[in-house]
Amino acid sequence: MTTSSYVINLDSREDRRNEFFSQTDLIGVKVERISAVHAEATKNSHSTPPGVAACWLSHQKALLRFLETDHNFALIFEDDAIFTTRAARFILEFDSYSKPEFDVLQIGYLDKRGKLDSGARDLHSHLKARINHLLQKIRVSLDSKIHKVGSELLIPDSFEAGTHAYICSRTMAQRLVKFNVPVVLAADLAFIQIARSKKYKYFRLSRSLIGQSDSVSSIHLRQTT
Amino acid sequence: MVKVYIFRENLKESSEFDSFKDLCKAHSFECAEVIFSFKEELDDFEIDRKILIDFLNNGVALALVLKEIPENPAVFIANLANFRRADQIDLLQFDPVRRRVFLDRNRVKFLVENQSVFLVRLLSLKFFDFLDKSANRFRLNQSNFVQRFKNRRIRVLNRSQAAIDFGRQFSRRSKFTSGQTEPGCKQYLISRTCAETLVEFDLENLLSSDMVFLGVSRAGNFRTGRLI
Repeated sequence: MTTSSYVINLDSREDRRNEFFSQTDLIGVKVERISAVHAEATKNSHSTPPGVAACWLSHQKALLRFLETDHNFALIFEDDAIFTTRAARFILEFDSYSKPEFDVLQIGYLDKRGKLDSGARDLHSHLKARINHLLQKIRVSLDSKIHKVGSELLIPDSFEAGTHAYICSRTMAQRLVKFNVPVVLAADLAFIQIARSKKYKYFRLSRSLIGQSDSVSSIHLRQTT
Repeated sequence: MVKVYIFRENLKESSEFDSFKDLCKAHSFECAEVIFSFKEELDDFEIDRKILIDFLNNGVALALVLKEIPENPAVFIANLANFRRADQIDLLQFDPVRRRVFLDRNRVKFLVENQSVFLVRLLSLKFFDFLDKSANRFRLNQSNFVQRFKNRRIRVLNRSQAAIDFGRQFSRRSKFTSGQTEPGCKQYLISRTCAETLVEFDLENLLSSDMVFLGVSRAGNFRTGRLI
């Protein structure tokens, strides 16, 4: 079982590129850069705003690149991903872990719904996250079949907002490269709806290991340029 | 014009189905039967896609898809016949509200379902007239903040009133909640614009029928809502 890693990054966002690669160099993870689709190229051909369509098409571009290789899994990042120490260990040891069969595994998502997860937590959201984590652990422990990767608990049939870090299987990538074109759903909404349909094996970690930086959103930039 | 698609289980005689079909015809609605063999088929978007293709090949403006016959068929069809502003919506869900286990969720649902009514009442309070007069008196009207607040209040008020009016077009007691479609979409009205997009969507069949409609509603690209 081998995994290849990709990061989606607009040519114009050198700031994010530098920030992202400074982290992966420090961890020692090899990540291939995928030049993101620009909004200009998607204008008037999708029912979503151009930036949203460009984001989904960029994910498909990364998955297409993965399908050219002979790896089993693709680890897809967006360029605003912020790694924690736990994330570094998880990514480095992922291939050696025993894991349940899965199509998509989300390892980073937005903790605070609708807001960017900058990593800096106030007391209220910290307590809320701890309680949430405890409830998730109880929920998983009540489930007869506990899913784990390494020491991380998995929540089945779930995908939260945010597509900045997830792992995709080869078979699912083959399906996803044809899905949602013309773009109707934003990238994370597409994944959320597939997970909720329960036709495929979607999981997310019970806690997000990868946050998002609070740098200016590229989707906004793509809409205005 | 609305074309009504009514689902009927294969080889099953149903007087309820026949009388509903007669009711539709009595109100001059064009009707079509959709035969299914297994209950699971209802969750498959492929069956919806077949209906949407047929609908787009037909000249009518809207399709009403009924995977379940409404609770009060006579009232439902009579209301539908008087529904004059259906062209203002792309996807309208009619399913009855399902009460959930948790009490707090019901409270939230009650607030969400009646949000337009509450917002209109709140924003029409005399307090806001008083604020307006005070702003005039102390010449605060030129301030950007005050202008933005006033415009926003008027916009929300108009939108909420429009939602109330839209709901009442169907029946006096109906409430319309914009963008609030729920899982279990078994009775819906769909426009040609929305159908044209959806016939080409999810050809790989990754989503269940419910999740297609819920996704479209959450994406916010179409005018969607629920009528209860």
